[in-house]
Amino acid sequence: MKSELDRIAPPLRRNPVILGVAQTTFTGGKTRTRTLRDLAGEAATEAMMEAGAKPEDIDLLIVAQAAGGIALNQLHTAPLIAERLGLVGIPSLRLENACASGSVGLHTALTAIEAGWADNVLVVGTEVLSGIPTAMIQKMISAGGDANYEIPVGATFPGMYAMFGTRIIHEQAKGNFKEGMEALAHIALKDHHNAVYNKKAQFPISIEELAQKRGVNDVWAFLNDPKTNPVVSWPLRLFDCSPTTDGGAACVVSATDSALSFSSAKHAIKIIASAQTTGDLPQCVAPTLTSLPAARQAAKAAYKRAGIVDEPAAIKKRVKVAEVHDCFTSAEVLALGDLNLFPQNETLRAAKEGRTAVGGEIPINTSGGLKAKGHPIAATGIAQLFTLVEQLLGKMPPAVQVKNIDLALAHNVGGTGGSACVNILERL
Amino acid sequence: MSAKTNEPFTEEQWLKFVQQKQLKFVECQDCHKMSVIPFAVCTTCGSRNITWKQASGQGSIYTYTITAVPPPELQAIAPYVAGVVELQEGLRINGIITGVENVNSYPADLVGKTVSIEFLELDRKSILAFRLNA
Ligand SMILES: [Zn+2]
Repeated sequence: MKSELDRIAPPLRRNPVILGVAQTTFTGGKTRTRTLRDLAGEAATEAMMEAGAKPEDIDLLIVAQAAGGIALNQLHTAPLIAERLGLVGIPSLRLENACASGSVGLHTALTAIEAGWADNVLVVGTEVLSGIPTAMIQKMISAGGDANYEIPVGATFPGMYAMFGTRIIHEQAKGNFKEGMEALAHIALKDHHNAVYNKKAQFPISIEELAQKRGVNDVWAFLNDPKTNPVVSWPLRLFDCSPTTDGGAACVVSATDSALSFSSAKHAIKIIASAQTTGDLPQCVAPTLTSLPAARQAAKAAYKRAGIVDEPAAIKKRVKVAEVHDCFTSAEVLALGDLNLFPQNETLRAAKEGRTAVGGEIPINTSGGLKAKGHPIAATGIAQLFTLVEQLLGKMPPAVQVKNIDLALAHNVGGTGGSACVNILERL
Repeated sequence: MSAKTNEPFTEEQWLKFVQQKQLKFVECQDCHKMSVIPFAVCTTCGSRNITWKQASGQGSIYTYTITAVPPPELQAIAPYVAGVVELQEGLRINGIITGVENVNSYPADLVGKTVSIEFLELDRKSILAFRLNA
């Protein structure tokens, strides 16, 4: 029997690298401007150019795609996208692990590389949710939950993250919702501050500026007004929720010993740990609702594989920037504890005190996060890598560039923790 | 072997029980593992000595939310409280929480409050719910 470490974050013997990574602009709204194929094509073409990869260099195409089957009546997306990229004639697959699809795509690419079946893999995430009726969107988003144990009893997707929020507020703020919800709002404020500098974000604007545009100068008055920030599922309000988003993201992953790695790449970013694991579904069965055990388990394994001591101070000494899965503000609180960046009982406070802002102890979601950058479900995991690679290469706008980075970390969750991935990147 | 052929250890059977207004779970007679997700072979010890048990229906609220934006099927009862209830047996299960006053004004923390099972009837379907004890 394999050890937990070897099963969840197996050794990376071929020293895999990301040779190129790209994301499209993220957009929302009622009118669709690009199809699944357009978004995948745009992101993948850019990633391949960055990697110096021609179609004949790619040995395997992995397409991460979540909602197309329900929302667009489109399955079989791997060949659909291969056609657009000149990749007909190689193996391809489409995978779906809800919001973690992109990272599971990367992890799966690594299994093919480590097996020696592929030297270079193209991983593309693509999602289209605009122009789809709200009821259909709700149905699609709920599809990451349990159709028999959760959905019939009114557990919507925001509802399930609200239930994490309630339990966290119960345990960390003694059930004081006013205090707890204010801490959650600080996460949204911080994410939007970061997104201002992200040209590819769906909402590159601060909540302060949004409030002013609507004639409200006090941002807390704006956030506490049920007309501007209505409850979606108590204690989560509109500004606690990520939007529905159209977007694509892609990366070329290669073994360091591959010909492509030697020849054409401008820069390579090393993947030093890739952890993927599975948690309970339905949510109610999980041993705790103030942590996602699968994310905690993935983080532990990733740290061990990367040679990082699993202790808050030690982690923050090495990991200088992280993109975490903040589909809701309560999800970011879970992430802070599951990544062990802060003690489990201090995560709400850490968020509130600005310890996760740029310039803080550990900048979280310098892209704006899912909250403000947007959350094109299956593309999200790859888009996180895009931001982290920009950070590691020093290519972020100065206001959000983190200095002296050693390692960067991505944390991506599917559903309510049924799937979880943690990847750690290092500049070569 | 306690398996009765008319009550297989399937999720479909669990759903049937709910429609008959019964909350059941499976228990392994050898290692006593309990689960609301039925199995015919114990996922802990491998035993086939499995039995259906009726839940007491008594428990307390582990966590909850007040849903202002309901799915279309539950529009009629919105805004409603959805929760995770910890049953006396130690198992947790999702259900609607009824009997909460002033749902619209968001009452104080309900975590830990005790509840008793009931079933709602909506569109001729039975929905698992728990009523806040007086
Ligand atoms: Zn057993």
